[in-house]
Amino acid sequence: MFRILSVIGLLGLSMGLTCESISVGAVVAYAQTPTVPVSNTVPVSNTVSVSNTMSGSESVISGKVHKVVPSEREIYVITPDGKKYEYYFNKDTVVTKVNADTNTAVPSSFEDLRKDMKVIVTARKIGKRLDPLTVSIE
Amino acid sequence: MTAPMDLWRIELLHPVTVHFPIAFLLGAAAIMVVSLGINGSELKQQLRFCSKLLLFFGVCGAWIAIWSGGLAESIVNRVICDPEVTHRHAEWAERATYVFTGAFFLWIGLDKYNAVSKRMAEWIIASILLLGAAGLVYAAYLGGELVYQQGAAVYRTTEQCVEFE
Repeated sequence: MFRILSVIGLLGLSMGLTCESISVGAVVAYAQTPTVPVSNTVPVSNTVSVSNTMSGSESVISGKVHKVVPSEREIYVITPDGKKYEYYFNKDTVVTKVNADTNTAVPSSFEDLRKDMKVIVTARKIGKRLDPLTVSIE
Repeated sequence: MTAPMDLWRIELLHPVTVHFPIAFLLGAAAIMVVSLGINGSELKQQLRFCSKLLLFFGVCGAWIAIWSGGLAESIVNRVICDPEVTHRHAEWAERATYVFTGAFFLWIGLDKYNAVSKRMAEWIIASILLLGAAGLVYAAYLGGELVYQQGAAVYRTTEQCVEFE
């Protein structure tokens, strides 16, 4: 009986301790929140090109598909210098494939993407998030 | 207009499940450390029992929280400004969970086989629990960053809060 009461008491104590630690974490995180918005004018390294638009900079990455996660509709692309980029596809992402015979881009889909395929991804950079606009399979 | 207060969102399973294991595991580590300072009494045995029990429930809860975190990740990473923080948060949470899981089974093993002296076993377990607690606090800090800096899974009200009228 005493053991059960001790466990209940200690559970309460540990919950209290955790609330305390979470609150401290939250306060520290809040204190570190930048008050001045950061502009998207710094070019991204390892991109073929970067241009600025009204809604964030646009980046073009050329590399190989490192991993495809169908359940998340997500791909990881690795550039020749070993940098890894993560892209979550959205409803506006357009996938195309270059037809080797005619050398023209034909419509494709996320399901056609495979590991080690060479791709060129154009994405809108919002903060550090990359929203893919077009994915061209070479 | 009514407020879109739908709290039954997949990404909210994570905050529902994550705080219990944090409390249990930090509690287990703290109680184990306290028990080191008590010599050979009934209270020491009770503290050890409580710590082990909290560790068991904490480890079970931590694996559930990792599962719910995976569900939340793919949703919030499409919205937040720096998805890299989510990855670091998940990595540290997994590391801490592995450490606590290992500590639990090691504790069972040490109790069963008496491979080292009781005193030595206590110090080994307490050290591992403290190591896990450090990783867990850092993972929790990154979780705080995701919510309070980037608003992960947080509903954004309209400027005039008309949906609450």
